[in-house]
Amino acid sequence: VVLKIATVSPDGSSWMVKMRAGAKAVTEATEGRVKFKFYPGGVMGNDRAVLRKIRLGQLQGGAVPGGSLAKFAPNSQLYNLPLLFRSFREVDFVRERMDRLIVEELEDGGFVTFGLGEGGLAYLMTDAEVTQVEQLRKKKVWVPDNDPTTVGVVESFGVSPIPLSIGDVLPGLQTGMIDTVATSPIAALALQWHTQVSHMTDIPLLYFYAVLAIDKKVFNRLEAGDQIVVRDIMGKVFADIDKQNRKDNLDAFAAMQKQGITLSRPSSEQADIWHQSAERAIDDIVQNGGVSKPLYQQLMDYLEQYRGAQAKL
Amino acid sequence: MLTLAIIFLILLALIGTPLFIIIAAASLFGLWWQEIHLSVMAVEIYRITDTPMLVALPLFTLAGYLIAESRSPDRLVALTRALLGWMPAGLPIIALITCTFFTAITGASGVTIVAIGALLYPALKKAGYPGRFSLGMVTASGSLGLLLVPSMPLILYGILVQQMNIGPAFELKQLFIAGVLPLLLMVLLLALWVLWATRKEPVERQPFRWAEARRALWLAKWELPLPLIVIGGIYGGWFAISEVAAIAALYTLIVQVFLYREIALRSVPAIMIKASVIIGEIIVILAVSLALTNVLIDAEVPALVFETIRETITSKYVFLFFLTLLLLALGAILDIFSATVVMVPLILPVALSYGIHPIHLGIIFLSNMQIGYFTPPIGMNLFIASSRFKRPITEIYSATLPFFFVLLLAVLIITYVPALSLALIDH
Amino acid sequence: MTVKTLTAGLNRAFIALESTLLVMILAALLLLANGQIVLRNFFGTGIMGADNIMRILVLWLALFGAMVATRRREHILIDLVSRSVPRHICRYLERGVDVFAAAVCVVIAWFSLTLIQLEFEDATVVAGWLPVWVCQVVIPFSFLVMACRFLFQALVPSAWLPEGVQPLC
Ligand code: NA
Ligand code: NA
Repeated sequence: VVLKIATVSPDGSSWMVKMRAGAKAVTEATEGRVKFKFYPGGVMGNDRAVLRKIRLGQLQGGAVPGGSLAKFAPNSQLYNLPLLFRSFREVDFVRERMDRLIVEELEDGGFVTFGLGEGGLAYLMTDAEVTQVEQLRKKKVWVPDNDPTTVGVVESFGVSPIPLSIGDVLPGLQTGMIDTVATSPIAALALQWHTQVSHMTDIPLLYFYAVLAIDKKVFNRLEAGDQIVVRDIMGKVFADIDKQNRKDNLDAFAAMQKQGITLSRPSSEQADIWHQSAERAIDDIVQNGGVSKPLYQQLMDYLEQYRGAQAKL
Repeated sequence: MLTLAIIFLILLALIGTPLFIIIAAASLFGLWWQEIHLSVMAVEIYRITDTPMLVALPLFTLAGYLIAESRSPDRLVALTRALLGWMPAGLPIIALITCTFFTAITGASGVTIVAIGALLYPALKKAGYPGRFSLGMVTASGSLGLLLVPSMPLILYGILVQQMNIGPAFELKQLFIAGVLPLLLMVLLLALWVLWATRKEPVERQPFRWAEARRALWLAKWELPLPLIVIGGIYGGWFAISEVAAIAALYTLIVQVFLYREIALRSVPAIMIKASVIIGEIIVILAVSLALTNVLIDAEVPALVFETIRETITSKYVFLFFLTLLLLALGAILDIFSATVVMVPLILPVALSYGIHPIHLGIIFLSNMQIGYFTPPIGMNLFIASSRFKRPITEIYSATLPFFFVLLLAVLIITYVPALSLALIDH
Repeated sequence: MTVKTLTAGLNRAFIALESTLLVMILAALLLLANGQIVLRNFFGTGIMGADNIMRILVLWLALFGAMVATRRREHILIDLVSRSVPRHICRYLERGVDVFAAAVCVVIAWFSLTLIQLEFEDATVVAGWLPVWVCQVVIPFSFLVMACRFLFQALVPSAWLPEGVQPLC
């Protein structure tokens, strides 16, 4: 069986190198019964086009952002809620306990996945210090025009974002058409946006991740033993990717500051205002059934448990 | 079976089947051959809506049609004659520079030919340049400028290579600077060719006269802001590229209908329909080309061809030569973004092993893509020119060929003289 | 009223509708794009999803434009052979080409229905509210219209040629 997998990561990137290595190991372990064929660099289109091609059987899977599978597993957006996590340690504490639930829901939704690969935390990057919500409202904030999650986050602060296509962002920053972007340090460095901003606000806006999602109908056609092999090897690959990305995220965060970008730290009162705005946005999402209430409550319980333990230290 | 189908389609193409039908049929056959659901064809057609900058294409085209329907070409001729009449080949050189900037802004989607070419072609003819020469020049200039910021393919190449994280590191800015000299070389060679080609058809030169310049400037007063809005708006940073297209279209509409009053309001719908026909042609061809690209990539054709070249060749200079041939062919067949994303990861490691700098490779790659757009017989811009100027494709072929060879010479110089790309960035 | 005048009347009505829609789509594109600029510069905001919707409008514009191109025989093509063979052979070739083109269009129209069905089942939306399948309806519609026009031209080769457009043969 050949599993054709599309991704937007370019060939030669660390994701692709690791996935290709994993694919090779799978082929060897299954004596050639299971092969992977990768279509990197977005040549098969963005996640929506990839999902259509999976439905039509041209592709059997894709490495896609977690939120893109919300149609099939609404709670896969759980971690993407605005200002949910305040640090990577909180992320780790929750993910250790809840990743399993998300993977199960994705499986029920028709996609076999092999664990979550960290994308990172997105931050506000601007041309001046932004520590208060009011300051952000005066900014010209860019959001990706096809990403309702980020749009929701930014709008929850009473900001009307400026949608531009991704190619317009760097010129837009250079010329002052926009002066604020919300993205991860890794992306900012890769796309050279870091050269156009001076400050980064030390509040993680949004956590994002990606999964390798394979059509369950196809996966079930593999021999039982092969299924275990694929799960085992690709599971390790994703654990590895997850770990590597954490390291890259931390490095990129540090590199941003080494490039002369100042970290703006809101006071605890200011931070509270940010979090209150975000909680109202989250309430809306939960009320509208974007994610399930019990699951969100469970996540908040874990966070409180963690934060409580931290406070005692 | 495969060969038979290809021959059949080529024959159909030669007896006048619409190009989009040929490409669609080839894609459908490819999908069927690889046992892929034929509905993927519709996915690919719909995928055109994910193309960044797509909106700029119809808006610039509309602006171009409105300008071409008015007496703007006359005013442009009068203006260049008054300002640059003392200079040999003043208008063609202005035309080259205009096309360069416009393509840098819009990408090489053929919109340069549709929007700017339609102004320049009649202007060149009116100024006394031979029709065939003008046709060739306007067609060949339709992709000039791919090496100039903010050309999307240039940015894409830079980001792609940086993410691969192999070879010497560089900044995007260095890549942008690297494109400058090669681009100047192309413009210079083209300008020299223009001087040579028109030497026997002397377009009357005249000394510069203030009074005439003032009068011509005054007549063109409503059109002059347009290049300022477009080029100034983008390089000066007032507008996004898609926005500039919107402003240009609206501005042109107002100027031609209400200020110059050369186009009656009631004839605007007819012009819009005319423009939509060519917009439709270009976008539908782009859409079915995406499908064909998808089929070829699914069958890993570009990778197989490249592997064959890589395995048979051991010398850097021969490798570069075959790379040129391959890139020319791919540039003509594939859409430029897919070609970049598929080919760069394949080529880069091999190129590095031959000691080719990634910045130099990028300039080589994009220069080849650029002339791929009008490489006979299937370069996309040839067909667009044929359609826009209502000239048979054979005439476009022969008119463009001299320009093709001039730019091929430029590409060979760029390929074999790395200093041209790297001189300005060596610290 | 004969069948002939009736079909001619229907055809005229359809062309009028087609032209009106085409002009409206392009006008909407122009207004929406300029509206975005006004909003950004004077109000520091933008219409969410406008970019998406504009790109879908471009698809509609393109496919309607292609329909008109079929009617007026203005498709981009390589006219190498037709000009160099005798007229009556050229006529046959042209009819063959039209039948082939019609067939290709029918295949695309038919299989695009599957995609629309999938999008309908998945209830995917653009810009938060616009169903994707509605946006895609233009694909089978336009290709079906093109198929009919190619077929009609195979039967009546000189039909619909606008003024000034030379027939290939
Ligand atoms: Na162009
Ligand atoms: Na191309």
